[in-house]
Amino acid sequence: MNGDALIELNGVDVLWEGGASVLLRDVGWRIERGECWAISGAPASGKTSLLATAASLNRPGAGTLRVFGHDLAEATEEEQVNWRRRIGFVFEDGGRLLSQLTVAENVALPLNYHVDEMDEAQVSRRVEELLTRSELLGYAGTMPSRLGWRLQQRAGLARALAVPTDVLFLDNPLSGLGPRDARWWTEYLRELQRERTAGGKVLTMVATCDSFHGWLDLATHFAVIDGEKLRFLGSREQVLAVDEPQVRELI
Amino acid sequence: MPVNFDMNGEATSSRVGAWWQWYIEAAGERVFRFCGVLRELIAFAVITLGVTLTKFNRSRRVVHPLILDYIWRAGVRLLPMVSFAALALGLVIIGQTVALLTRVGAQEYIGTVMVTVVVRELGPLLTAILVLARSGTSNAVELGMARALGEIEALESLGIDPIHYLVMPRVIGLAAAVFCLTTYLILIATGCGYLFAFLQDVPLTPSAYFNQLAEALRWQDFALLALKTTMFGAIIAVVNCYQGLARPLRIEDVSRVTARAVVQSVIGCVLVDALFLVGYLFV
Repeated sequence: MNGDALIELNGVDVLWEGGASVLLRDVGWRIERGECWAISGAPASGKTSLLATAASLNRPGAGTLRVFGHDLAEATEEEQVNWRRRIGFVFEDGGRLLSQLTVAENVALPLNYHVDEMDEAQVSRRVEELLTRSELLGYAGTMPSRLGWRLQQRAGLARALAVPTDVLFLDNPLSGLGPRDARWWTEYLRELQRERTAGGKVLTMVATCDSFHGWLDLATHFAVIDGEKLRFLGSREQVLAVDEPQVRELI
Repeated sequence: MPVNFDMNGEATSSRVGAWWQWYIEAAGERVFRFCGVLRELIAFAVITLGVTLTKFNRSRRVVHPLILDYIWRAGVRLLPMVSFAALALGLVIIGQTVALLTRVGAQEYIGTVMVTVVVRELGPLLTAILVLARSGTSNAVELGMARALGEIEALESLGIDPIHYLVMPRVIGLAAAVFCLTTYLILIATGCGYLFAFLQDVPLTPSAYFNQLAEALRWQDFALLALKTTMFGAIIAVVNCYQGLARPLRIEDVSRVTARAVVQSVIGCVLVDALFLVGYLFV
């Protein structure tokens, strides 16, 4: 077994949010350091629930989930909090910013909560840097409800990256975006990955998507939700070589 | 269940029996449901207490300003409303009792009446209801909306404990607010009580009035008042946070859980008040 598996699912049943029904059965999946996954599937097939389960936000219905080498079922609350600091999660529907905080306060929240070593000036500088990069500096003092959902989602990305993360989960970030916004996201993520690799802190990414369009140049591994199963398609070249109409449709 | 009637227009005994059976079953079901909710609320309160004891000083840069913010929102911003209520309470109690006490020549009991009614009973309960109306309900709405919009999952994804970040500051803030506001209300109501007695020409000097108050007060009153008011604040916060957070919600559920939170908070405060009444009888 390769020692670089950051997240490992063995025989996992993925439950719908409330835990009432099983969406995917017997999922076996290893996410290794530096990989970039693109997971596609039909609407309501369980992409978000799969992502939330892999990020240890949802408990699996059956099987084992290992995060950074530790079994979720045996982990203490303290360990889970430590993992979550290393996992960034960008939600689909407008990033789920906290509605009572401004955009800048949302981005600063994980820093203020987790990183006691940083003083206020350092936190402000980091927030400014993240917002500048997300083209949101002009909205720093704005309440999320006054931003469009596309910009809210960018703020969600900035918040997820505020504390240095090892794994970044992105729930359908390109959904409903025009070509310009979609390009902004893919270029941002590519640049981020390049920077992190150059800095020696390789970033692992897992994204869900409606189609692989936009991800073919970025992702290294592809999979599709087929019924109640997660089906691995392999690398970019292998995906492009698949003849099945359902997969061709995604490309 | 409708009661059936025989040909003479009288309810048949078997049907009446079925009706009573239905009534007892329905009442029993409600009692079981009440016990279930009470158990969940106590569990939520114990979790909150555990988090408060173990994580009070953690992430203090975020959490401590939130505590001050809730003291401000639930306490300081309620001062005008509590002043008005204290004024009204002083007027009502003195207005009603002075005439009666003067008629029987028992003016020396005005202070005792004020202590018994305002300090022990009406002051804490009225303050708790005002805080519930002004802040408790807004907490239920805020948290219910946060839950419905998926903000709680967002907090969890950031490694932030929602009980630590959302519930603990509210519980401490509301407990402190109810305690401080009750003290303020009692001071204003007793002061106004004398003012209204003076305006009604009751032959009572300020020193005599305040001596009566001092004699009627025992040290247990201060201890029980502090305990009771902080419990009222904690109950209001716990019930409203529980209703807002405990279960997955949709936007349309928020008004329903808010109404439920109000009812449960009032019932909780009245039940605790009844327990304290027993306490006052024994100390």
